[in-house]
Amino acid sequence: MPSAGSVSVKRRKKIGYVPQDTNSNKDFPITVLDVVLTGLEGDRKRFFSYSKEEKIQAEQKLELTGVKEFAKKKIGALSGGQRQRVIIARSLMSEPELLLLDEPTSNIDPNGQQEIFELLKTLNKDLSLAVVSHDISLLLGYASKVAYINRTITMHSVEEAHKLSQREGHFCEVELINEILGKTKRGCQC
Amino acid sequence: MLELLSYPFIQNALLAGFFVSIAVGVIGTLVVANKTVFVAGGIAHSAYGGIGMALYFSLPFLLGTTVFALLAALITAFFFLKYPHRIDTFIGVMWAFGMAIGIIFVDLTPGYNVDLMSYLFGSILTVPSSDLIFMGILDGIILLAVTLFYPTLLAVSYDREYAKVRGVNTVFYTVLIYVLTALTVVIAIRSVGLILVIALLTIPVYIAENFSNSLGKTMVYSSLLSLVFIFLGLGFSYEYNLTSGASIILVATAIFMLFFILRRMFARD
Repeated sequence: MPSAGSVSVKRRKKIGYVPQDTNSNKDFPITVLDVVLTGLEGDRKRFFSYSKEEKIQAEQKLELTGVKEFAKKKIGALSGGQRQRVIIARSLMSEPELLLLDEPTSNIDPNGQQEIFELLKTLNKDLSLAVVSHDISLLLGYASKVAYINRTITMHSVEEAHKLSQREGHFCEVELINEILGKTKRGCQC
Repeated sequence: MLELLSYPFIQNALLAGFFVSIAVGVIGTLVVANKTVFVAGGIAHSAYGGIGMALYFSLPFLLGTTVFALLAALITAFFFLKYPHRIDTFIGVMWAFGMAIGIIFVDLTPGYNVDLMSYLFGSILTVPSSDLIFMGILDGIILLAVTLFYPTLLAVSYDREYAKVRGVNTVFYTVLIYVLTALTVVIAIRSVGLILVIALLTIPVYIAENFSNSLGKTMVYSSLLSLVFIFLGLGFSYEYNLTSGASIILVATAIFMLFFILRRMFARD
């Protein structure tokens, strides 16, 4: 386990970001396509309007995240899960190499959560993802590494966690958290 | 009522109404989208200090108001960027301070006997032609700035935090929105007055938002609605011999309430 080291970050614009709360500003008069286009801001200055190419790029990102059919709709008309896909599409506009997601499924029903993680799995083929989540059981099916953070950071491979569930013959989240916390007790606590 | 249109003061009033509509529709949309209605109120009332100073120093009315309103906008922007969680308190202080300064300067102005109320509640029927030119120029500045910076203004208005993370200079755009708000206040002060300008910044936008899926469309619809409110209000004030500014706002609020009730009755959610 590393006790010291440094983190080096590549050029800023290659990192994409998906913030946690996407339910704010639901009444805002803006189309789904325009929300995605705002993801271009910051890379370079633009005046008056977005170009045709940029609009096509935004449509492609919406297609990738599976919500292209809503492009012309007002953002407030979408469900929480659909809106999350729009926000992910927005983060892809800057063509990131690393995507940071903060609780991407916190405001979404269980079915929608699964779908979001399926989408992230697809995206993961082309770019690296770092997801902050409290939903450990869901995360395990998709993540390749788990970092437990509480003042210090502890890295785990997902295999360790899976081995644990095999040992007990069933999946136990309480035990899993204990394991990750590094204070495993004998047997299952749940 | 048609013979009215041949009077120059009526023509001026209608033209003033047109200029006001453009400004309040475009900037009202930004103000409502950025949830800075209270900021606009603070700037409007602070501008009263400018009116008092213009009277005292015998400066042109609109020039004094413009300078003071811009100053108020910059100070408000500073407080917002520096102490975002205490901004309502600071605006409250500025609001009262601007009004107080205005009243004191009016007190000190020797032989001053012009109707004070006309600045608070507007007097669109007495707008001089020189003011109209100034209002037109300010409208031009507002339209140019908003269309030029439209994509980034949209991004900052929709999700300020995200724009900041992406490296957008949110300080510049915050100051820009506040400055444009100040110019709008100046344009509207003559016709509806500084107390009533808030109604024209918010009511048309609240209604227009429901029929538009973009900030740009909301701006256009809001401007058109303002124009309707102002013209209806003017007719109302002529017919019943009432204060024009108050009549305009009464028409606007009546339509607002009607819209609110109808929306509640027919809304699906």
